[in-house]
Amino acid sequence: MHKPSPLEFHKFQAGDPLDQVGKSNQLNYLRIYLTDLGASSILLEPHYFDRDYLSEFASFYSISSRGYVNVCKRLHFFKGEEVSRELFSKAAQGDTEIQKRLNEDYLGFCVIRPIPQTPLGRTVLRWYADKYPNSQRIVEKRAYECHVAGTELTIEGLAWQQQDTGVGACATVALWSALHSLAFDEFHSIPTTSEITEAAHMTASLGSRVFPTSGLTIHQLCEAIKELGLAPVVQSGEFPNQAFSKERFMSSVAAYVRSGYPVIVIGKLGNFGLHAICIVGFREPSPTTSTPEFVTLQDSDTDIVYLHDDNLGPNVRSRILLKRQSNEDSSSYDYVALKPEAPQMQYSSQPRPPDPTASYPEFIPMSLVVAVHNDLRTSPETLYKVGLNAATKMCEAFSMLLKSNEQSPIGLTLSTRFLKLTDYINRELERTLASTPVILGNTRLALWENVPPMSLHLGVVRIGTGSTPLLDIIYDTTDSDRNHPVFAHVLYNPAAELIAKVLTTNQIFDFGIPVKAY
Amino acid sequence: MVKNRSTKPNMNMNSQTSASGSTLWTSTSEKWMKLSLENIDVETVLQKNIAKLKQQSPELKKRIALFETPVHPELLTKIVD
Repeated sequence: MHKPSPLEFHKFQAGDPLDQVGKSNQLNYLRIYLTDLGASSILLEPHYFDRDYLSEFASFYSISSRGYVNVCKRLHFFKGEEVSRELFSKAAQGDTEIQKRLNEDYLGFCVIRPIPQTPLGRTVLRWYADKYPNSQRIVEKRAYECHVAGTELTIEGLAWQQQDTGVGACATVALWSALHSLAFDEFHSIPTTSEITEAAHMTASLGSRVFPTSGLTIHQLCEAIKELGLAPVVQSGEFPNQAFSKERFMSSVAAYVRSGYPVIVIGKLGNFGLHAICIVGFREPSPTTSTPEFVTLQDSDTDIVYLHDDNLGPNVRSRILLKRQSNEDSSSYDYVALKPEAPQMQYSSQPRPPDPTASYPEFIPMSLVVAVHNDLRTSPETLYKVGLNAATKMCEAFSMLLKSNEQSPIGLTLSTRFLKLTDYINRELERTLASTPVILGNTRLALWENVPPMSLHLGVVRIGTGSTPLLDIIYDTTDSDRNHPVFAHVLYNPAAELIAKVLTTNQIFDFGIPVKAY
Repeated sequence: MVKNRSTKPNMNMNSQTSASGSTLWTSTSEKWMKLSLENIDVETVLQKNIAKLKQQSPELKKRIALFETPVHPELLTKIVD
């Protein structure tokens, strides 16, 4: 029987409760990450019933003769002034100032499972402060609320956990992290790892036992996604070794992450075979000067992605490397590899354990698996193809016009994403047209009244020059890639309007119904 | 005939690090593009070049092909590490 235990308050230092969990690369990673966030205190909940672990317990650990208990511990991390019992008592008494301060200093939590070899359960840690506003970090995150003795602590991030190999392997936890995305909240509750593993075996067991799990195939990952009421999308690298070019890899990854869909990446990890990770963000490249007469894919120059790797931890910063493969016919190609790298040390006075990212092998992505909504039937590849076509034609037209007037030609920038209709009409248009409320209102009304009923999710192609948008082309996402109907185009620039009109009239490109937004 | 814009739309920088942020989508620093098409008869110039515009250049075909690669994942290989 469980017995009551008091909350514990510790300094973040050697010998603290995180240290006592054991030794592993993941623990070293968490220690370094928290040290660099300025962690100073740990609040330990000695008894915490974790939904994921209870599900694992029910599926597997409860009938093990070892006698696993069904309760976990939970560690909460804080920076700043030390969190003591006295301070926390004031928060428990309802002192809103103290509660506010605790939340400001809150760095996240880590559930410690009673599984000796793989103790790290659901973990959510704060992101590092983004210091580069000109090349923003684009990440998928949600708010997690923790309640400790009446004090609510909130942290934004996306959950990570270590694979236990009892009910979940790397592919399972990668999918588990991906399904924490806010994008699925309206229709789906977040499944536990054991529910994912069971779903993967529901119709695709392929002869292997369910528990303990020995890993999943891509086929099983896709089956799990389908069983959970979503649609799997799979893309593979275009090169003979199934690796990706940077342009294809980053264009696809960025389009999904921008749309709220974390990306499960299957690939080769050093000499260890296949591995799965979950990309949860990327740092967008600095705005570049457009190359004249060329369409730049906005995200193809990205150098950094952020990923959850069950071998390391959450939010692992990874650099995109280009590796050269030479063929026998003396041709060659450059393919993508990911190499984790620790951020620059910010708190040098704190001792740090060995950095597990330093010796971590390169990871070569070979397939992307993404869970999307069932009614989103368009692939990002199709959006890029039509976007490239439209942007190239516009670019050619601009160049012809400018050259005819003895002016220098321009280059254009292309970006795509999927957005909910309401998000596009409400938030995206507001961000773009905030200073001109009359135009904003007219644009919204025109989209509502002059365009046939639009789908819940839109495929949006944005064409611009540098960082300035010229027009959005809005696609239906509920048809096949072959049909791919266009709804409308929203014009932010009169020159773009004239060019789009000529291209439409001459059946060079179908932009759909024009909507003026200038 | 196209007149230069006298004002630019407000491209508010989204300072949040959310998935909706993006330079092209929420930029503020860029000067509004000056497309000086004032003295150009856009329709006439483009109509003269319509045949060229209808062609798909080899470079464009190559770039589009990048996104047409068939999917051949190794579906039955276990991901175990």
